[in-house]
Amino acid sequence: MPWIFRQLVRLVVVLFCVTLLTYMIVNILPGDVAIVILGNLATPEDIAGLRKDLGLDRPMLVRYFDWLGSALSGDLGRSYRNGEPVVQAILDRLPVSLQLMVMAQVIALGIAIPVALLSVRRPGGIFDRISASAAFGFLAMPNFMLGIVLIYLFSVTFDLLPATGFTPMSEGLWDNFVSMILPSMTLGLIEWTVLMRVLRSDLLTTLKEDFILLARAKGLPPWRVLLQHALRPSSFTLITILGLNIGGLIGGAVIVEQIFALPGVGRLLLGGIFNRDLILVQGTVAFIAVGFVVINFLVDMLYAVLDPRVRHVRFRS
Amino acid sequence: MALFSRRFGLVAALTAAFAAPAFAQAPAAAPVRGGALTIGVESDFEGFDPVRAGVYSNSTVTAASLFYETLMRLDDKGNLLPALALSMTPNEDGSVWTAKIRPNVKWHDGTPFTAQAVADHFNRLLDPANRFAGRAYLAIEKVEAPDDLTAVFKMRGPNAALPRTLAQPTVTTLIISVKAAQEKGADYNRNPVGTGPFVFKEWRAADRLVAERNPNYWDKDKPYLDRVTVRPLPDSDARYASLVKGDVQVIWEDRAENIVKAKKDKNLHVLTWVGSGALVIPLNTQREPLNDKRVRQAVSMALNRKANAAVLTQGLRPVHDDPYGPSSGIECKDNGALKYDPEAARKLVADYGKPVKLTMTVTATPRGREGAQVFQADMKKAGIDVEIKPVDQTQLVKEALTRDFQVTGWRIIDLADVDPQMFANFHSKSPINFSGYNNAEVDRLLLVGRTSLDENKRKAAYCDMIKILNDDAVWLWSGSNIDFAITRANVRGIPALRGGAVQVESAWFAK
Amino acid sequence: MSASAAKSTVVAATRPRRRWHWALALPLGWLLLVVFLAITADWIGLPDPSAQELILRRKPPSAEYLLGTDNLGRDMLSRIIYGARTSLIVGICAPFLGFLVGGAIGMSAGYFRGKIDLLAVGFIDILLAFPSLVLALTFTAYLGQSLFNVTLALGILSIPAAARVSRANTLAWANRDFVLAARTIGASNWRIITREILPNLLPPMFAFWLVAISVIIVAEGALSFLGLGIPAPQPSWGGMIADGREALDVAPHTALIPAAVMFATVLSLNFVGDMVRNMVDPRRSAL
Repeated sequence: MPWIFRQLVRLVVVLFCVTLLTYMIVNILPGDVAIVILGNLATPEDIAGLRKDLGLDRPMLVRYFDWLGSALSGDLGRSYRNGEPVVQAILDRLPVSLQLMVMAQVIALGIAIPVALLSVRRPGGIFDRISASAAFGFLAMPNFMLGIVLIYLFSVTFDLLPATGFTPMSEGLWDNFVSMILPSMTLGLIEWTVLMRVLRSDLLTTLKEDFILLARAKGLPPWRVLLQHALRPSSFTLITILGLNIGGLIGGAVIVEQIFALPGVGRLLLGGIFNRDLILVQGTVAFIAVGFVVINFLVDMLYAVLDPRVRHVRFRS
Repeated sequence: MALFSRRFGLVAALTAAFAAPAFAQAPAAAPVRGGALTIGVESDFEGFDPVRAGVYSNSTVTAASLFYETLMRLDDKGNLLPALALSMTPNEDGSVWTAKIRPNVKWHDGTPFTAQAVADHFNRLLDPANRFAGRAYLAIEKVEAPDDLTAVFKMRGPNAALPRTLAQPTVTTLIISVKAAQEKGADYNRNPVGTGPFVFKEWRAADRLVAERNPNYWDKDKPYLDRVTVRPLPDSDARYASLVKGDVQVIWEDRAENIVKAKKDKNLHVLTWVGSGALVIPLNTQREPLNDKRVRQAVSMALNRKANAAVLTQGLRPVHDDPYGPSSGIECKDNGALKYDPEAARKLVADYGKPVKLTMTVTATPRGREGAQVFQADMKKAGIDVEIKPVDQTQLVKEALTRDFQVTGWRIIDLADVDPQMFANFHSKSPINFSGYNNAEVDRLLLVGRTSLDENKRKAAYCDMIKILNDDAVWLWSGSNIDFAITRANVRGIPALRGGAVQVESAWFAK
Repeated sequence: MSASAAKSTVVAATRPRRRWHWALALPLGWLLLVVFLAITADWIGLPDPSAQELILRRKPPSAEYLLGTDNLGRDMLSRIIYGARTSLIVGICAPFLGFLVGGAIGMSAGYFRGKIDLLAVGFIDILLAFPSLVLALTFTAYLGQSLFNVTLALGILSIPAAARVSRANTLAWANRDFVLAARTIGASNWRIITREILPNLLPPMFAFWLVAISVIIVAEGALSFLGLGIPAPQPSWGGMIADGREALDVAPHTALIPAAVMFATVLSLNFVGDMVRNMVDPRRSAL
């Protein structure tokens, strides 16, 4: 399958470039991990010595290929700052980020699907117009602003939910769930607008198809037509959009984790950047980039398998 | 050394009536055994191998003092008490100190604790090959162990402050098992072995550290608690909310709004510790235009330190005119501080003749921004232009160390004795004297403070020194080192928050 | 941040097109007001946005301080208006920069196809897979935090989106009869690109630019919110929200007012952007 082969080559090239670029960028950051390790009392001689020990005095490309070599064998090195293995650090925090993203998606889908279904029942009707306006409004909300408004409403004013902070699952499932509501709402309340609008237009197109008209002609009740015949093909579009949106979701998660003090991968990354923990930043960025690229690759593949025409017009937008 | 603490950013200080340290609960009742305590701290831990971690934030000291111990201890009044050492005695001039080690103490891995372990710990830190940064503060040359129960500290010169310095829990004085560190290598940082009242169980990064009661602890009655959990809760509001809800029973706190709230809450109790050290604004004496004393004095007089701090910290963090703090016992009748006087500052600037433009390097945090903007506004009134340069912490440290700054924000940490910090910051030969200050008389006084065994002579030297430093306007004292912890009302027995650490060896729950 | 640019394109107009006359008045009016105030800020008798009155910190709105004071006792109204300057300068210039570079890349890719296209698409893929925050952070940390550097960083972040839009449109126009005709009479590639394709590309790019402005304003806010934006004391909406966040319980107005202003501005920009896009690109409204 030459097409698949080409795609795989592309995947590898993109990943290579992304990790190399990260390496270069992270390495030109001013500030110095040696200072982070040695503290504000270190002497310049100690700092130079430690840089040597860490191999930071070698040419950047040499270091990059070293890193790449061990990364391919699943070893991302140890954090310069506290010696924690980077793979372990990511895996420890990944559940928090995943929980955040999954809960956000559930909220987004939970709003988007019913709203889209109700909208297309009478396009241009009152519900359609109100929901379109609401979507328009939510889309204009920066996530950091929405986060703060939600804290103000649910925490400061009504005292219903904890403002910030994370309760791990080991402290109790319910407490954990409660501590994740506001963060995932912050992401989900923006995300649903995208899903809803795509789903709505997709449903409108589907509803004009012959098989829908046939189902209608058979006298099926409108909601059955919608749910059974129209929604199913559209859910495929929805999956694609979810894949495309993963990048935005990750970016949003970094900020939301910061606002709500969640110990997720995004905070790990930010902390690494601030501490010049190059190896940690490198590992985390590579991990995120790989996740992003692979998910999109899978979505593309899925799309191609189900709809052969795509192979020829791959670069849609 | 709270390098990673949020307070590291420049905090403009304030004054108000000086609040006496309030160690609240009078321990009338006898301690009760049992119970599990959770402490909320500000940041995750750097790790527990001093060589790898480099610095311990106050959060890390809180956790480390569960399983590590110091040779000596200080009670809340500042009296020395024995801990891992039964006693410490100097030779005539104080250049050699002999510590009698407590017998029958065991490491958590079951091996006996000996004088050799003490020597190994300090010698490891002093070995230049290990590049332990804090060694610049240590006046120790080497430590020897002639027998199992005797450790001999050879000093670089006469040193009066050693026992007190060793009594403050810090990255250098908390004694680790070097043997375990060698066996475990890089993993030791996350799996510490000590002699302390609690045994390390687990540390889940960014989540919690758990330690359990050490049944073989040398002080038979202690500890009272069965288990202690330390949780990093970086967001101060979340930390406070967890305390109010009862999820944690003690928190370290620095947000004025929360402390004020807690003081009104019957279920909570506020602990206050006024340490030595200070929040400071160092001026680089080697850079134009701050190499001119008139300009430095103008900056000092233009900054309305006390009024600013009174507003910004709601009176919780008074400003003093020296970095000594009440715990040091140094009280100067005349500290030579320049008074707030924007008019005089203007005249000095005019006298200098050229327009004065300064760049202030601060951390890119809300607090760094706040302090810098207040500084900027005050300087403007005296005709001094200030540009703010926000950088992150590592960059700030680098600029300070390489003396590549004009004005910045810094902190002198809380230590039991003022000598190590003062010497490091102001002696002309110190590698970390980053103001580039060079004054023969101050050098001489620093040596008196370091070497004299006469407590009164030392105090007089520090008072003479502060007069010179204030008149020269080298570092501006912008706030005192005050630490706050809030506990549930039934928590008892937490000692003074030295270095901002919460120590729970003798903590217990009242019924 | 670039992903949210893509998001906006996905979400193109679903609004009914007819009633835009009155619906446009409100957002357009708001934008004009913001622009007008940002330009004239120095001449309308506002207090200095960095003048502090510490004693009066975090005071609620009053006759003297119409929008209250912030954490250092500065006039919020003045800071919001001067903050609009920051937002507008970054918001207008950064996408412009991105569109110059991205537009050129996209046009060459769409026109020449083949290897150039492959390279360009690869380049875009890489930029998109790269966490934009790290990129922005690197620039501000390496070059120092300043208005120019923040603009530059966000400009780079908007390259991929701009390249995609221009590439897609070039692809559509490059096969039109008049382009083929120009080619058969021997017009040079340069001439075809600049005379035949570029003019057709400008309207959709302009519409997209309007949407990009709002995306960039949000991105600048996010950077400032994380403390990596414009240095103090120059006001920025994101920075004001971050400062106010510290006192949400005691002085909510210090965070909520800049948040509301930012929201209104972004909303209006999206609105106007959508309208313009519907006018220049009728196919989109049928989506």
